[in-house]
Amino acid sequence: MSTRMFGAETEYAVAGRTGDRGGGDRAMLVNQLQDAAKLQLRHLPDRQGSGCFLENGARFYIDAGLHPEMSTPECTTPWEVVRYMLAGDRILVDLARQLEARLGDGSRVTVFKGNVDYSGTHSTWGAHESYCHRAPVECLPDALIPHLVSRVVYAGAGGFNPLSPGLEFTLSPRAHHLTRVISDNSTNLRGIFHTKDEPLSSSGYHRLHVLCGDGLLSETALWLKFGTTALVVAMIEAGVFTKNKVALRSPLQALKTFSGDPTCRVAVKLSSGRSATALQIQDYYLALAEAHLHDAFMPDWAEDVCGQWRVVLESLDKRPAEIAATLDWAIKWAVYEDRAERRGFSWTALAGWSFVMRELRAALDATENRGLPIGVDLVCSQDSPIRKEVLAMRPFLHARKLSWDDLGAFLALRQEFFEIDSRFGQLGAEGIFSALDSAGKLTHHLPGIDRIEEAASEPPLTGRARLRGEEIRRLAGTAGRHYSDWQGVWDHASMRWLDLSDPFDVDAKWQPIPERPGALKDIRSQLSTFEELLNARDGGWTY
Amino acid sequence: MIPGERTENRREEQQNDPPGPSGGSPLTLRRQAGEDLLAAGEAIINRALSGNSEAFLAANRQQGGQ
Repeated sequence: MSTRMFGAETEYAVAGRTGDRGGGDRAMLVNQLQDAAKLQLRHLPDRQGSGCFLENGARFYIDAGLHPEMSTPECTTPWEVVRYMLAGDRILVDLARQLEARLGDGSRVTVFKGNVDYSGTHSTWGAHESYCHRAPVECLPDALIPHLVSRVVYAGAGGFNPLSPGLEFTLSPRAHHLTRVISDNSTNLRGIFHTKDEPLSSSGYHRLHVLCGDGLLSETALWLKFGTTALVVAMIEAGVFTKNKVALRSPLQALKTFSGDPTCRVAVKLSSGRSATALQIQDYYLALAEAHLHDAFMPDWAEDVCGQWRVVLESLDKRPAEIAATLDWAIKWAVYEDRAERRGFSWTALAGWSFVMRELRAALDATENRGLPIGVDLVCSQDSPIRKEVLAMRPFLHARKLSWDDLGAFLALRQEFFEIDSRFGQLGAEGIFSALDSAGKLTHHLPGIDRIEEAASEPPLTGRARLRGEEIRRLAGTAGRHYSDWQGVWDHASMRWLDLSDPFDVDAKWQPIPERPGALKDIRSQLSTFEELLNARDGGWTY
Repeated sequence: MIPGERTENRREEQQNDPPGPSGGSPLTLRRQAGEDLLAAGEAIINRALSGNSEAFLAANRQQGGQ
């Protein structure tokens, strides 16, 4: 049995409610959160940035767009990676509460785990995955993309298309921000497959960086997302995919089609000319994994993952009510459908209003009033720049028993649902997912994902994360002398470093940093020189 | 899936659902969990909402990210 290694990077959204001293400034709050982390958490400074590495082996820093980011330590089982993600959530909540107490002016600091903005900025932020592997990089896209596209049936966060002027439920809000099949860009023109291959290790390892996924809350969904994808990566590495029978004719369109179909019944075209649903594609990957279950390249937890994978696929196919309180998107789908009905809107009516809003948006954007919000006043005005289109909508509305009189209620419901979706991912007791969970209404927990408090301070049991965590605990408080990064712990005073370039290493090997004449007189001013030194070292280094 | 289809599916499943040892099959129990979720969801959401969703979304506006 082989050991797989993977980890998660979660970018959080932070918002503040202003207190007496202006606690609502997001930039200030985020920076204060980072300061609080350095004050409260045992850590070493990040050798290559402004963040820090924590005693559990994780990394905390502020990423693009003022998003605090927590990277888990390198994990070797799906239980472990979920456990460390939950520990990261807990650390963030604790920091927010401590910051509120320190501000002492009534400011509230709120942390959210969703990864799209619904206010109209069209922003998204990451819930990335990293998988360590040795597969030829060129083999990855063809074999992996159909899995990434079809796994939304259990790994989608659920929510609404954040780019739609209507109210369109989607299995994956993040999917609507993807505009390429393959891309090297993580902040713009994002792709389903990200070509970044920054191994953060040596010895021929690669790091598959997956950025198309959603930020999740369900333990079952998180566990499956990592477990299944790690098995697919293991199979690619083992050369199982000589020809992928479920290669997609149009992966981007397929992702959006699957995301828009909570029934999981819609099929898309394959490259072969045949059609397949997301469940059929997932079943193909699952059958392959089951066929290789006892091969040496599979991890010892493969059977557990395949078992749960099959249970969830069969539930989605035959008994969707079984997972209505288990998967993120299914929980939301049930709740939103119910709430819309209570507000007098059938799901069909919402689809009708969404069509109307798309048409009006397109019409308005073709005028000089491009981008203007579409409200009741604009639609009903005799001087409306889209008067012609409004009038042309009457037969459509009439046929569906919709009336312009209900437009205001629809727009209010849209805003309310966007707030609900944001608050689903709000961390802490006030978040909707947390509250439902605390009330015992969800069935997402999995045995073995426990001791979250312990994971906030204890590193994983094996691999370099263990060594990093132990050294950070030993050396914390010596800032200015010791630093950490993914590949080592650095003692800039004694000119030694702990070599962690092999992610599977279990023995601490402190060794001298190779010196260069005239270098390293002033440690801080020489930080960039370290990289040059390492690059110049015989044998080479891979960053 | 539209709401009517979902209800119809539930009916079909109930007919095919074998009884479990404790008076309710695992399927029934999980289905019950879904119904409990809806009953609790409405109250929990009402407590969570700000009362002014537009202002909430504006105050929580996010820019950029990976």
